[in-house]
Amino acid sequence: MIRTQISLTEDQMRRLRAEAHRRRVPIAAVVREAVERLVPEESDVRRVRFQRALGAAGRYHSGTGDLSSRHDEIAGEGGW
Amino acid sequence: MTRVLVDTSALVAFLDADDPRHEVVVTTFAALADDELLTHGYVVAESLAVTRRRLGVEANVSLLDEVLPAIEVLTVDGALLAQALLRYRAALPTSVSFVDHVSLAVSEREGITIVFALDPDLGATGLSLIPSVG
Repeated sequence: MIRTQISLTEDQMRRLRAEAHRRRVPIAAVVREAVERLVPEESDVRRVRFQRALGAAGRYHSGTGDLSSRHDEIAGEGGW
Repeated sequence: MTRVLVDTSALVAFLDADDPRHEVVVTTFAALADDELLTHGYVVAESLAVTRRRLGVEANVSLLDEVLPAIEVLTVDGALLAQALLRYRAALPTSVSFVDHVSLAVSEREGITIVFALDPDLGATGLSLIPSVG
């Protein structure tokens, strides 16, 4: 663990103490969790985005199945 | 982490359950979880046009809100655009689309050798296609 010093407003400190008290954990634990939520690891962000993309796979039906092979023509149909 | 360029053909087959290669495209996508997926604005424009036209507005929303956030969209600047236009002009009257020429120029600039695509035109350019054309 790295020890650091930060300045908070009285109101922020009051809310932080209240949350730590409610959870029955040290203030530092609440701060660490807030950091994780606000600035998650890039790899976690990527993983979440990737899983979300996978969830959309096959959700739609063209009825023709020719979109990938004829996408040039289809894109040119009508206006963009 | 391998850098992979994503083409319109892969994106639309990914969304369309009726595409004959849908399953293999999804399997390929799933295997790229630890790789860097990239595309460019012309592929995005083409994919939006095709999905909107044939899969509907909801598919457009899925593409924008769910699929594209997993893919980095690279900038096509003036120099790259000029290069793609020259390539397209020189290649006429072949069937290779302008978007494909932009993909080729982007791949060259970025040092990308693998393209996630079902478009044989891209495979004929020396780039490695995944999934393999079958």
